[in-house]
Amino acid sequence: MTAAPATLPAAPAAPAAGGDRAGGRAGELGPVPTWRLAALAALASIVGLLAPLDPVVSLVAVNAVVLVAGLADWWRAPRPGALRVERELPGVVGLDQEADLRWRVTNPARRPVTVRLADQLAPSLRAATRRATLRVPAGGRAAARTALRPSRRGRFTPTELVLRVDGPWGLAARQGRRSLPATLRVYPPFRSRKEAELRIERARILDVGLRSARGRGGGTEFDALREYTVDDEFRRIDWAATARSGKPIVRTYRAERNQTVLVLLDTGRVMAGVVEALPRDGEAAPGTEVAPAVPRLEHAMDAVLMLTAVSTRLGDRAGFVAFADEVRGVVPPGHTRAQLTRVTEAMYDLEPRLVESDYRAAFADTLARFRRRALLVVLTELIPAAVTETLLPALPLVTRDHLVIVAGVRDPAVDRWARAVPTEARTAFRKAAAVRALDDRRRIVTRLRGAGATVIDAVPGRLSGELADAYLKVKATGRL
Amino acid sequence: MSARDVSAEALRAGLGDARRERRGWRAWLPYAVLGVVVLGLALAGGGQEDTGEPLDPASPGPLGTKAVVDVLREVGADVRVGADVPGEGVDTALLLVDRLDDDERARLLDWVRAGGVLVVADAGSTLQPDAVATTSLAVVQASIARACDLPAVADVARVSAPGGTVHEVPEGADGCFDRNDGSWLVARDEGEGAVVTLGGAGALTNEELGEADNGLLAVVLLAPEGDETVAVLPPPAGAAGGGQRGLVDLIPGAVRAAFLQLLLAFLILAAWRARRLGRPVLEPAPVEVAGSELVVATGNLFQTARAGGHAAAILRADASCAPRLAERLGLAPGAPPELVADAAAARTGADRDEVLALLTGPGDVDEAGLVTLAQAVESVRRASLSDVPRQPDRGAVGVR
Repeated sequence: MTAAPATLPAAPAAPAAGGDRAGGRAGELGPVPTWRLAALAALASIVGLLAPLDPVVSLVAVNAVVLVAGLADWWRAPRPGALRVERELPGVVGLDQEADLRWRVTNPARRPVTVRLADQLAPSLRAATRRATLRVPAGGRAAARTALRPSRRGRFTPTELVLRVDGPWGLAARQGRRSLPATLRVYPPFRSRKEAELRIERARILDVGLRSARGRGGGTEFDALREYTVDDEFRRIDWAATARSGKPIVRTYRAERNQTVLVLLDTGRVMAGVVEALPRDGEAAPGTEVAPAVPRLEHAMDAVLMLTAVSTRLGDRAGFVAFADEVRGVVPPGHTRAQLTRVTEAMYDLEPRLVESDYRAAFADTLARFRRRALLVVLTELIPAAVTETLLPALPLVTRDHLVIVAGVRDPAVDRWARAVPTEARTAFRKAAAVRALDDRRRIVTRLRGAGATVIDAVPGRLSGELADAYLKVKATGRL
Repeated sequence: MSARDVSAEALRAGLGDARRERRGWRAWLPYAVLGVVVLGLALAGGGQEDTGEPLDPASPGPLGTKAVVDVLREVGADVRVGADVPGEGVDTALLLVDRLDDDERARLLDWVRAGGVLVVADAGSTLQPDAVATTSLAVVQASIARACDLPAVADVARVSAPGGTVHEVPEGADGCFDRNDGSWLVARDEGEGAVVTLGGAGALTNEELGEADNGLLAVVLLAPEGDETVAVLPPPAGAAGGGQRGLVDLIPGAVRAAFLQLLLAFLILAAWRARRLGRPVLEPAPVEVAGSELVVATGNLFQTARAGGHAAAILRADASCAPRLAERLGLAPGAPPELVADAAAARTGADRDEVLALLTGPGDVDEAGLVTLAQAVESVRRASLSDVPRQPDRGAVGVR
């Protein structure tokens, strides 16, 4: 994932910079007293006590001094618009990654200033702080940083910055807003990256032909001729080539390439439900942070990334279609490494829509766009009503010409409840309900298989792996 | 963009605009409110209910003495209210509170000796005879009967003098309205005139003047003929013990000012803390509905509907039909319970009849029965599965 630093300076001198300069005091609201002014007022009470004056006179006089001092300091405080502010933000952050955000303030005045700033960082960015205090030397610049650990993917667009500039004595401050738009894209995490690498490695071994004897089919596309070694099968010997060269030559094969894998991601209401994640192998060590429960869509996205990574690395073309009640995003099939980034880019901003998914429209759109035979992977949720009413009737559209895999995110909590030993009535009833839900699910899986689809129903931690394995199996058996 | 996205976006944008517009005057709102509050307090503080000083001849309040003046005027007397020591042309005088200095007192006595009648209503006055100890007249038994034959007060039967004191009657003087070895009213001649002292001005207040014969007493003492000229000496400001001075008034002005200053400092502090650096950031809230919500709801519905039998049927079917279990027991899914019981008993060593009873028990069970059933089903299931080596994971199929 690239983290290209995107500097988005707001040049205050240029009129194009949001007009906060032209407006002068636009976004500036009255003087802000500081604790120093309060302290001064408190000290003044002692003066009033000691001064041999009429109490009323001394009160008025002392407060007039405090007021004048405060107002004078406010008057002398530089306007927030006079400072040059920049926000240095990586354009892209992965959900599990930490990113640095830097604010830079340049002070063109001949006096040092103290600036407090507050950025418009959404809570789910989980910034260590969204405020900073800077002492900017005269004619110089100062910077502050904060760390972001986004808790949610998507697009974040902080548009402004609030600045509070203290007066020279620090008695009063000017506060104002500065327009400083920026975009931070938080990409979905690719938690199964390691598993993907593992499968790619295994498949490569097959590809190179070192273990071509194993694996059903072992690839069908002719790759090259080479000299016979003791482990090669006799049936692979190319007799014509052997006769020409005078020494035994074998033909090597490799898996088919340039096949198309199309992943259809359902983003409808069925994907909105929150499902807990199971700890992966190696993550289950005690003390590790348990992954928070996230919508099914997030788990499905991991599977999308997995399939895209594995298939493109094995020389296939991976495409992506996101749909709900309409098609929401399409990435045409491609086989370059950049495809993973493209798919991520297409996915990061998708939130589940609370609508019924239209599978027929999604299939029809996909068929119209991509006519080549492909492996169609539909990532959805196996809810009986949704599947029987919309998915099953639409399935014949695609099963005729394409190989279809339907994958669902299974809820580990329901599995657990169905296998629990209940101790009270509530859990016993819940067990019955869970058992029935799983029964329904099983029935649906059977019906989908009957309709000609391969079905994968796995809990979040395993879905990606099983899906990749199913794909590899399809390739190995040459079904595509 | 979905409707939801759009609305969230619009909401954010709309809120932003509205706030920006309102901010202009909003920023000054706290200051304006503060100003109004201060002004209101100032006005309220200056406009306290004016009931006048106690014993003030101009005050209509319960402790004032305006009624005496009115009553005297009613009977035809010429009442002059003023702090001046009465002089020529004044027949009688009422001294409500004695704060006279020696010179004034001497001039007053000179006037009495020249023929004036002075009524002293201040129990602490030096013109009073010595008090008999501190015998005060109780409020509940404030009424004293006349017990003398002084001709001037012959018409007065009783006086009501709450909080009054009684005094020893000196040689050559007459006492009247006796209580506890003392007299409330003491009259003595002084030269051509006379000095009448009362055990306190309580009997002459607006509140008390209507009680007993207090009004009559005032008239017979100060305007027996009805055409006298009466001088009423009002109490000097703040003469009465109570007054309007509260605890706050007793604190020196400088200290009060210092406290006020600290309060101002606190207000500045509050203004500093109240001013937010950057308003809270809004963002659309993500969906937070558990994916297993439907299962939980179904379970709760079973329980609410007391569908124990239905739930039991599901669990029994699970025990006999669950694919993995039937597979382990070497049975086809949906095998009759007898076969399942046979196989399970053979495999786990459990009692066949028990297992069969479990699988074919009565149709309807209560909650406790359901819990037992669920536990039993689960234990049979686990026992049946436990001695089978775990199937290797279905990872990396066909690749190895």
